[in-house]
Amino acid sequence: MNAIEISGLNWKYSGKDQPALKDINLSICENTFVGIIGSNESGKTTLVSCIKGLIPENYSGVYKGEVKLFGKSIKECSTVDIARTVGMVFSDPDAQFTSMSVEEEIAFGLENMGLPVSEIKERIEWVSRLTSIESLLEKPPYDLSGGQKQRIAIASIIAMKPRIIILDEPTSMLDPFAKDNIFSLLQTMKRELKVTIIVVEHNIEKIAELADQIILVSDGRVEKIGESQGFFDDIEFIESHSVKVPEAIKFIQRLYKEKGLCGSAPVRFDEIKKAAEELLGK
Amino acid sequence: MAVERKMQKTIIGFVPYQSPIYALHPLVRLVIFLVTGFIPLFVEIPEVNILFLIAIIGLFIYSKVDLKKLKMYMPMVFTVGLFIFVTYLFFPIAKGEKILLYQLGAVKLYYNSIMWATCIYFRIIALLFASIFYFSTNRERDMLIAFRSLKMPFVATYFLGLSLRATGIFMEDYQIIREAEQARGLDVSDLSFVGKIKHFSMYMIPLFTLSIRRCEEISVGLYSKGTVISNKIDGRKRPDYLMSKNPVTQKDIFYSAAIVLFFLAFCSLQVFGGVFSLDNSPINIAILKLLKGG
Repeated sequence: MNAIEISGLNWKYSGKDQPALKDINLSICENTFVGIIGSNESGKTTLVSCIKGLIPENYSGVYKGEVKLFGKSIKECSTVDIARTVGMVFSDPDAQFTSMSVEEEIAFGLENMGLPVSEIKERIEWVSRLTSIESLLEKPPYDLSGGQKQRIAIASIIAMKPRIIILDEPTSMLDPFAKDNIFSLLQTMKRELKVTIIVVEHNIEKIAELADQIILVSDGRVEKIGESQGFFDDIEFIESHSVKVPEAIKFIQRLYKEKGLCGSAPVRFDEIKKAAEELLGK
Repeated sequence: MAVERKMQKTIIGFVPYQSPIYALHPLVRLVIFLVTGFIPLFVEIPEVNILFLIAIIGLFIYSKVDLKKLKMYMPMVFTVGLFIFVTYLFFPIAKGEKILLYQLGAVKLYYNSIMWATCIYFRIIALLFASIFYFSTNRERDMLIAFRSLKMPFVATYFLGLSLRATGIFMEDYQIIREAEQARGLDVSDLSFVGKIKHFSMYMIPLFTLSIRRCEEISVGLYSKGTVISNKIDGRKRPDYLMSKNPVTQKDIFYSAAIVLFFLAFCSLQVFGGVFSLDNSPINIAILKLLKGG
């Protein structure tokens, strides 16, 4: 079943000359891990905001087309309905933390859903184990690092058990160590949760590792969509849209060409390493 | 060797990580605050307010509040004193018998004015320390629990919680801007007092710009969590996880009632008997006796 269906979507922010999204047609299957890549101002955040329903609900502009979540038009869904179906994590961990302790922060979304207190308690215990934040539950926001806050933002969304989780540049404001932690959390989410995960990210290397499907957005259009294996076959096309392809992927593709091998080169680091070792001989 | 942290930062100050006062429900702690905050207003005798102050300091020690952290309030203690005494020096009160102590030109120093200033000063200091005690033993979430226990509407406590959080974010942004300026070589210590004030006003521009952006981000974040500003979800009462973890027990109600009764009894001593009037102050009586040569 398709988790998301977008047809003929156009969006122009009021006061802007050019539309931010132009004729987007897209389907995303249930329980897939999707990476959205593209340069700055390409329309990635706008696209996921449309999936979350933030557009047109919270922004003014011209909206055309339709977004459906599990077959139901987003226009027919209430705020609570959308929150139950789609969870979204933003890039700034501070702006998402509105409560005075980690536990309250996780409970807040669950209270909004009207869950009984006993279930809220169970979900807090479950999600804190899953995301390894048990020791942080009593802490206030100003006692946490940026990475910890982002982990909690993700935990509070997971706790709501939405069918779709969107993460909009979740590592852009974090240090390298915290970034790695978030990516390993994404790995856990992919492994443990049966949900559709959409990650907007500039770190192509990590996205190639995790994603089942990658979407390239440029100048408000979906320029390319495909499985991660084979997505980077046309490096020139991708780099012409201001997206830098990781050196490891470039290297293995060159090696494939030199050896005259058919088929797509691997994109995951371990597979690249293994293929390179085989092709070059240990 | 790792140093054990005894105090935890809050938006308003510091609270101890462990304290015997945490055994009391936040509602009881709020009642203690309200009572200790009002008691000095019914007391004119400075000695009683000094004793009250000592009792509050005793509570600080009992609650394991690091007294070194109170140093940051000392400038306030002195500034309040300075303003009160200067005000009563230049604008003496007409109440009671005027006893002139000293005259320098047009400035006359009256005993009753100075005594009344002392009375007001210790009242305010006692009240100030009662407030500091509350904020040194209650985290923000304790305050919210206390207000919700008093059946304050969800919208009001939610607004209060969000305001506290916004204050924290505002202060973090302020710190970032200051550090960014220092990183570019600005030394505020070189500026004159007026320069510092002017410079501080300049902080407001980036701070307000950031605040507007933050407001939008926070509102989008709240929307994404399905926030509805109402105490009802799908026609049912909104669940309150925080209160379910901190229910008000009969014991808490008993403690609160006992404290309020003690307060009422204390107040009636002053209202109906004038027990704590300045005229009953032993020091005041002794000095007056001395000044009148009796």
